[in-house]
Amino acid sequence: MRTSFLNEHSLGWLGLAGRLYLGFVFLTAGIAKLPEPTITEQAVRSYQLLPWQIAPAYALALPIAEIVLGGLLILGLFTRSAATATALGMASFIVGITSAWARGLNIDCGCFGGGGASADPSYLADTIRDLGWLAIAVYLIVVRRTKLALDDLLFRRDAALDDYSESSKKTELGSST
Amino acid sequence: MNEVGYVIGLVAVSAAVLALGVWFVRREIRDEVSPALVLWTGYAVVAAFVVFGVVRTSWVVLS
Repeated sequence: MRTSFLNEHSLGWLGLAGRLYLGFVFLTAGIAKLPEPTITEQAVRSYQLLPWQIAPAYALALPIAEIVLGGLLILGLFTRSAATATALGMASFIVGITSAWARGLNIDCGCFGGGGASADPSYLADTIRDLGWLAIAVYLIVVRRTKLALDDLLFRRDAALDDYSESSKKTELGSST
Repeated sequence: MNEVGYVIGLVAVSAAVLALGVWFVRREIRDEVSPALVLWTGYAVVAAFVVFGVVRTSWVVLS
């Protein structure tokens, strides 16, 4: 009993740490790209994955999406949906980087602004780093509840009340016997 | 890195992820976390994104 209580709490706190870390990463990446849409567009085109015409819209939408997702993760609002979108984003970045590697392109990932041609690409380091962030996003999907999340305040009120009434019943039963 | 090997790996990993997704959705339905319709709709959206990404990337890498 005591062990499961500790586990539930420690997993929740671990989830909070993951949420804050991943949220700040996405927020930082989005803020770095937002003021430089032409450079981001150049970075997107250097991957040679998306159709040429889509690059400007993608370069504009990507930092906004990163900022929104980062904010949602930090606040703990729609956490599992935000983590799912974050995981898909990370997976697409990993595919982009590894496919550039497989095709022998020499580009910078442009993950935190910049990007385009690079004489010294760091594909392995970028892939390992993104795999770590993907693992955190998957953890946030699987763990269901994290500590200090707005989700608990806004959507889990009934569940909280159920927990409370269950514990009250147990207390009453315990006192009557 | 070999392009054909890369595409085979990408397809294999994506198929494994989609299969894990089915297991995950069924677990969530069993535990009554969300309505089944919502979960399967979410899964369909994610699966469509994954399949599109795999097809597009494979096309670009092999062409």
